Amino acid sequence: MANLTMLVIVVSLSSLLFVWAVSSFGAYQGGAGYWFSSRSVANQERVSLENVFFTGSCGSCNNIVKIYVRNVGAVPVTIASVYVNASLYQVTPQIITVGNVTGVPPSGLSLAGGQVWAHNDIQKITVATTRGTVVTTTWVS
Amino acid sequence: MGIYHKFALAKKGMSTIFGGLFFIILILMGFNLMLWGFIQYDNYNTTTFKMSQNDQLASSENLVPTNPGAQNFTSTSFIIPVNNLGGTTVSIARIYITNISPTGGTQCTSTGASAGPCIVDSGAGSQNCAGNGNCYLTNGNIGAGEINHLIHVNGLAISDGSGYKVILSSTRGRLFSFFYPWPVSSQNNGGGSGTFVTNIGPLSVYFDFKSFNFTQGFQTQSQSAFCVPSGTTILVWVKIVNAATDSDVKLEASTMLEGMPYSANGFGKFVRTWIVDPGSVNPGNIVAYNFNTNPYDLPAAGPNGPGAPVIVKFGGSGQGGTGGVSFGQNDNWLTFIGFYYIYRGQAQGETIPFMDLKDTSGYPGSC
Repeated sequence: MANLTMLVIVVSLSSLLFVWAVSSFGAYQGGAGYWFSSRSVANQERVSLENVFFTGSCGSCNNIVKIYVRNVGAVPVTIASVYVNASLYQVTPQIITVGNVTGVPPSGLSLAGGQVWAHNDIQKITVATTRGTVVTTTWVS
Repeated sequence: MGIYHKFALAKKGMSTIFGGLFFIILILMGFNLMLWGFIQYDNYNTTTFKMSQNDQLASSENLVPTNPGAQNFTSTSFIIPVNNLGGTTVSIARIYITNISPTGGTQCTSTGASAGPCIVDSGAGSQNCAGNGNCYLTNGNIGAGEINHLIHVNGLAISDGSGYKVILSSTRGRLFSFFYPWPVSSQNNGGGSGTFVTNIGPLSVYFDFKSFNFTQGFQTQSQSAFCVPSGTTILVWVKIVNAATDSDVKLEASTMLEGMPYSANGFGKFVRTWIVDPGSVNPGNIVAYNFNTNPYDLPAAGPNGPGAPVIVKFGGSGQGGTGGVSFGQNDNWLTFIGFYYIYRGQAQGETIPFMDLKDTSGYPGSC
């Protein structure tokens, strides 16, 4: 009887321990796996701001900025947002495949709120991807 | 009776055995988790290492466009000479050409055929940038160490007199740029025009018999200063230009010229003279230099090259002084110029070894 009791106790406790271990290990694997995979992919992102062209919607408006971005990394990137001198411009998410270049946005970025660029001023252009890669460059308008 | 039957009837140590089995299973699961973690970390490190290698390759790219930037023009093509001074092959993926001074035409502006910068791609090209068909480049792979590699650009020419900014974009994401026309005009070895120039900081200093002059007495026409009359008070003229495109250069009053005779033995034989007012023409009308009211202000270079040259006069007996300068050793002189100036709003200075000049009492016969 004592042996049977011990057996029941051992089996039940071991079962509990087994269930706990499986769930813990699973949770760890899930979290770590997600971190490794997401960081690994994010690490393969490389974005190059090749050129910025300053123009306007009219002769002297000076209110449009054309930004050319090339994907020089190993995975496709999605451009999520653009900053011009710390002003955020949400753009339609734009996927750039490996090795390709595109205008962000293709038609050029219209400066908001009546902002204009001035000749020979320094303009800080920042581009951010959905995975968190951020590239900042400066250009003379 | 089988071993199993004996074991089953023994009724001893069963819980130990079951507990041990569970324990072993848990240990194996733990090992499995560790192994999985190692594999994941290894994969992560492999990716990081690979990207790091790519970054290093990109960093080692060093493409240097060479003077004059663009050459061998036809009506729809030209060549860009470059040197690859980096440690790896560079592939040009695209060239951006922006007309920043549309004085000769409107191509590569927002109103030109390109409606933006001219985009020159490798292969067949993607943009009819100048109305001559797609613009494209060939010979865009430059081997490590290659000198005077010629990149062929087809579909447009940039020799129309406008000022262009040209950006060469590599497949690894590096940018190499230059302006055309080349900011500092190409200087030959004289070629009859007698022009030699040395560049230091933003300044280009001319070293030739037309640009290094002096006046004596009340002369209004300067003459070559490579040989000057001994013991005579003179005013020294030096021609310089500002080759920087981003700022003018204002010379400070402490800018000076110092000469040391070949036969100098100890102090006391040095001759020093400071800059004087730009309006000074000869020793007879030297005006002291005043940085605040009438400085030497060299304009920034434009897309077509440096601005007009400025003749800097040296004849001050001290900083902000007058009086002219005299060389009286019947000897050759090693000279140095210390330029001290305001550039981009900040003080900066360089000392350059300057001319070798001679003073002779038998001037000009014994020059």
